[in-house]
Amino acid sequence: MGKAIVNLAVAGFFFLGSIWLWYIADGFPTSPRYSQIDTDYWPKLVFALMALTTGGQVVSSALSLRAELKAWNAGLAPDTGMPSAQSMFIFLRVIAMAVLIMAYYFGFQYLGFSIATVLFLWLATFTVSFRNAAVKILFAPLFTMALALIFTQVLALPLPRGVGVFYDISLLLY
Amino acid sequence: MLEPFVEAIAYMFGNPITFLLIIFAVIWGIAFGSVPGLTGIVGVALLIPFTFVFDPTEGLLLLGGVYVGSTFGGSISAILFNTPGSPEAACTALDGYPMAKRGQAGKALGIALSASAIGGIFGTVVLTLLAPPMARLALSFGPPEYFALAVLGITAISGIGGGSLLKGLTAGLLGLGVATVGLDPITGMERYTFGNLGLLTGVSFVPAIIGMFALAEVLQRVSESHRTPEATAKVSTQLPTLRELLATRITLLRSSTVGAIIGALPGVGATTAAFISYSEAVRWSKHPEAFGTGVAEGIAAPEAANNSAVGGSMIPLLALGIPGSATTAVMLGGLTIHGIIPGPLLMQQNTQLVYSVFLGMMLANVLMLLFGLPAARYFALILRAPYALVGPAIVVLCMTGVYALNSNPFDVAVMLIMGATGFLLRRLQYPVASFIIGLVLGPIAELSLRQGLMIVDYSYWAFASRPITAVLLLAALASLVYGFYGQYRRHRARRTAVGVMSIPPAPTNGATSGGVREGAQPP
Repeated sequence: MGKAIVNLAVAGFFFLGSIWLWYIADGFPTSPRYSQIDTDYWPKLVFALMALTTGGQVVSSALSLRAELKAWNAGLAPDTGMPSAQSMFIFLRVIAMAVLIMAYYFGFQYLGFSIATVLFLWLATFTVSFRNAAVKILFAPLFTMALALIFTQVLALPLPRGVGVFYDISLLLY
Repeated sequence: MLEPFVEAIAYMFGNPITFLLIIFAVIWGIAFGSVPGLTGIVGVALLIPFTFVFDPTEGLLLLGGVYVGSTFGGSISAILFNTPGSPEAACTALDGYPMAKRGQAGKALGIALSASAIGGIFGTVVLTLLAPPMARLALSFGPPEYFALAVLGITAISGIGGGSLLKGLTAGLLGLGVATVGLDPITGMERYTFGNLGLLTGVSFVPAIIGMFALAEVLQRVSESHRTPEATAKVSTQLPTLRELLATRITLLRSSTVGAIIGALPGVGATTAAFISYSEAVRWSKHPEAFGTGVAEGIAAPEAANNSAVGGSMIPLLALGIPGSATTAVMLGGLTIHGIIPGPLLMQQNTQLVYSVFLGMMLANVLMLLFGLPAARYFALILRAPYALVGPAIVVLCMTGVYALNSNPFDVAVMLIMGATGFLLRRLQYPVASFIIGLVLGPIAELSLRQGLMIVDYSYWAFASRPITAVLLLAALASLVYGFYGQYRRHRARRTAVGVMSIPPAPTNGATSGGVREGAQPP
């Protein structure tokens, strides 16, 4: 039943979102020369169609949910129970990885490529379970060095250097 | 006909780096294709920023080589571990894995490799023969025809896939919607920028596809709990003998033909080609009951088809500028960063690039045979690489690759947002491929529709009743009807199955039964 509720919520979100974006398009500046195919013409068409398809999804998800509710009331639905400890662990792992990626994005700009990447790789290997500690510790600096070498020496592509003291450190490295 | 080939050969021998690039691309492609969850699309997407330092021909050869290599790579894990590295190799596992279990893993890999190379070369020949005349025909296309082609591309990929049609269409429309961000191509007015200067040029395509495929894939893998399979390292690939190969010649020819045709259709890719070829091989076989137990034809048919589909899927991309699959849509992104717009004019004006790609893909298939033979055992070892190292390394490659495009952190932010969106779309079972096709085709569809309407003085009837436009729009409608019908049939089959399951069997030993599946309808 949880899946049907999520489906309904997401379809509803897309439905309301497409209507909102349609109204935003309605407020776009107009151009008399292209009055029949103006700035709002294509976005309105796209979001009207999207409202139609997501509206269909809302109806179909609501019907599924109603059927499941009936089955549940009749005692025919399986007992899904509480989420298991493993699924909670996986959920937390995804959140941890997402937070790490965001931190890496900011670290990338302020600490520079080398320091941010080594830190990210070290922390990320602890997020996804892997037992070999030696490989975990060695992989981060070796991979970072190899990548920095390829980007700066072979491909001559820019890498972020960070700010302040980190900028100076990066100048020593690549 | 021969002059462009001579020109392309001269280019390739004048730039020996192209050979090195193709070798690297094939190895990279096989590696990405062989690891479940990485797939060829991720391999292509991650390499796009690196093509920036090469000239357009070299860049396209690199991406084409990855596409070729990855299509075969999927079969390695399918045969050795019963876990297809990419969706198009799912069928290969049906007979490849039982053969490997019998102790003939090397033979199974050899059949897959030779069938892949034969299918791939066949598909490239079809591409070489069909793309130029199709491009000449496309020169007569106007905006209405291009609009209809774009509509067909989106509806076909949404309608022919196995999932929910409404979700497929919604994902496609979401892609079209995201493509409207930025300046209006005709009036020059701002749309959905919300005052953000970074959005004036629209949502950058390359960061979007890298986020959607590579970053979302990492998050997806982190959200799954499966272990790295035990790798069978003691594998020595054995090519089939000439006699064995001749015994499967009809299957190879039929599957290659099916693959090339299906690959060329928008929205229908290598996976469908592999499944149709497998079922055709069963249908035409004298021993259909043997399929699924580890027969050579059961491996050769899907492998020849999915590799032949690679060449087929390049036809609409190069001849019309319309990507027919997610991988070719990603490749289109690789071309656009070099300022190259694929389509009929490219075939006329840049024959050296196009024919170099034809030759490069041919060469990639031959190299795949050469490298795949001794290297399959090492590619099998890649599967043992722990995801705790591979996943974060891919995140680093995504970040640095996207940053290197324009040294712009805003591009990286776009990639992150698209990665999160892609992850959520996957979890909610919205097809990401439809979204990407919508994003790629959005600008083409919009401009063609608005220009076309201006040409026909805003008459919708005159717009839609041009012969080619009408045929393409009808095909789009047919793909939708087919999609709805398929969904209806699946729904009915599910209800029937639930009905059968909910009939309680006669209780034995006092046990009760009555497993009612989720979504069951009450009586």
